[in-house]
Amino acid sequence: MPNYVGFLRGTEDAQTHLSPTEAQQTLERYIAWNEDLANTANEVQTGGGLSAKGRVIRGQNADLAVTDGPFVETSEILGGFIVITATDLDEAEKVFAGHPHLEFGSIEVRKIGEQGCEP
Amino acid sequence: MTDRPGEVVSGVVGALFRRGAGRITATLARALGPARLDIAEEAVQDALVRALHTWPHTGVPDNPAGWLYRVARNRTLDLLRHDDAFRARMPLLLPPTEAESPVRRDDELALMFLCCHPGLSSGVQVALTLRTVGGLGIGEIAGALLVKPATVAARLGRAKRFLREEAAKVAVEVPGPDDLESRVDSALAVLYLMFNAGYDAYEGADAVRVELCAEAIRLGRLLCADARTDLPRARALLALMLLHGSRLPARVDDGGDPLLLSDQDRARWDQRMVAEGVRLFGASCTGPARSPYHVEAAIAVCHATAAEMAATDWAMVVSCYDELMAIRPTPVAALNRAVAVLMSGGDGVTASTDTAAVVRELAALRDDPALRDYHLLPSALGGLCLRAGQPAAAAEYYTEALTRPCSAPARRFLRRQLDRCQRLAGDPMTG
Repeated sequence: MPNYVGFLRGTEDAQTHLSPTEAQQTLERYIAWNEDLANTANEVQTGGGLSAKGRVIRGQNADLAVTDGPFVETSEILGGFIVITATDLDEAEKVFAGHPHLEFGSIEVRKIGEQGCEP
Repeated sequence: MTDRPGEVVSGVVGALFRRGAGRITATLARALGPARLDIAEEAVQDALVRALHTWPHTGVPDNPAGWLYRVARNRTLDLLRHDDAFRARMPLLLPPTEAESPVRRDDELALMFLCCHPGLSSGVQVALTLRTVGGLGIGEIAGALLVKPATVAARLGRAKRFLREEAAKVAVEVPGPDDLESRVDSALAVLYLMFNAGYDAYEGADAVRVELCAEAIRLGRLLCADARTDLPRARALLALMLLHGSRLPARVDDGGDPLLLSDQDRARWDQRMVAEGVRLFGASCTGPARSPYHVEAAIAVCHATAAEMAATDWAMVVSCYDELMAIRPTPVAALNRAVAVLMSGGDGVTASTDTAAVVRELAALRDDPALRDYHLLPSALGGLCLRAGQPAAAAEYYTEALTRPCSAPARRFLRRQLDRCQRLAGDPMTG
């Protein structure tokens, strides 16, 4: 089965207003989502949180321009990613549709091409 | 996916975030001083959000409290890297050794004394203690105290302003011997308010209010665990809270609606809390002074040790209320005393005469501005009239009670009583 990656996007401050209890409950829901998937065919393959700051590189050689990211032009930042197994995009969508992150932002689901960039 | 309320998932322990927030804030605030409480809170909040973003991917670390402390501490250093005055205090923020708890034994006690500073009004003290030591959010505090979130935010704003302006005069420390007694009194008053706010508005399923009572008891234990603040009146207050707290599980029916004392299943009272409360009350009866907490705890002992409502030593309860009225007269104490007098039955007076006298006594309290918003006064009057066979008069009192602020279950209780009155009033044969 192919792998699908879910990009977890959200505004930087989407969770800063949570009380400690709410933050912990949210954390437990995130972890429970992973665990619920652990013994299914859709089990989580990998994933990671991404640091809020990074660098954006453009151009080449003499024109090389490096700026501090992330991408000030977007209001949403990429906070992390999760890779799961699914038979097709519809199934992957169903799996991610239950992710607690959706309370705070969006998830972009893409297939990881098995033969380069698939259409 | 499934939501699993209350279940411990992957080693995230109980109230780790809430407790951790209070403890770490205490340690940071002590090192930073009262003017930088904001920084401590921001650093703690950032650490929690960082955990939220990291732990789902990495798993919960072996020492989650230590992880949170390390991140909050580093964030503090980061926030203050341009602050020269702070550099001098940096050695106070040593990294914790692995095995050790990051918190000094009395950090939380010190922070509690800061939050209960007598320069702040009582409403501000309670809100600040719940936010800073208790780790509750603004919305949770508002819900627990039955006020608007904006009111809580305003109170916290006032507190922060005071702490910044008076930073030279206040400290995040357990007070020294000179003003210890009066500062302990401020702290006890805050715990008393906090506990009552949770107790009066208790709705069973509403965890925040349980937390309010539990937090007041926890802070009371902190006071009694430190030799400097383990005063007889601190023990008396802790005994009082434990004895009342023992009844929480029995105070509501399965639907979350309040039950009258006479309708409660006493087997559901928490006997461990009763035992500890009675023992602490005994330990509080030392030294010359008898505080209002002692008297209230004595009343609570009467209730908690009676096998059934009828077995309550009402004469003792009344004499306790007499004593309470002598040392701290309040309209609420007068109201409770009047009800206890009625329950004690009097000496050969018929029930209806007795009721009429008590109703007169209570009706006089209705002009007291302190009780203007207190739904329990008209509610008690309604109950007395109902008992005296005057459902029409009772209905008026219950209608009045419904115009006052109270929790949703209390409102349902009042409506049920009102319905009963109207049924009885419509059919005088059954009245």
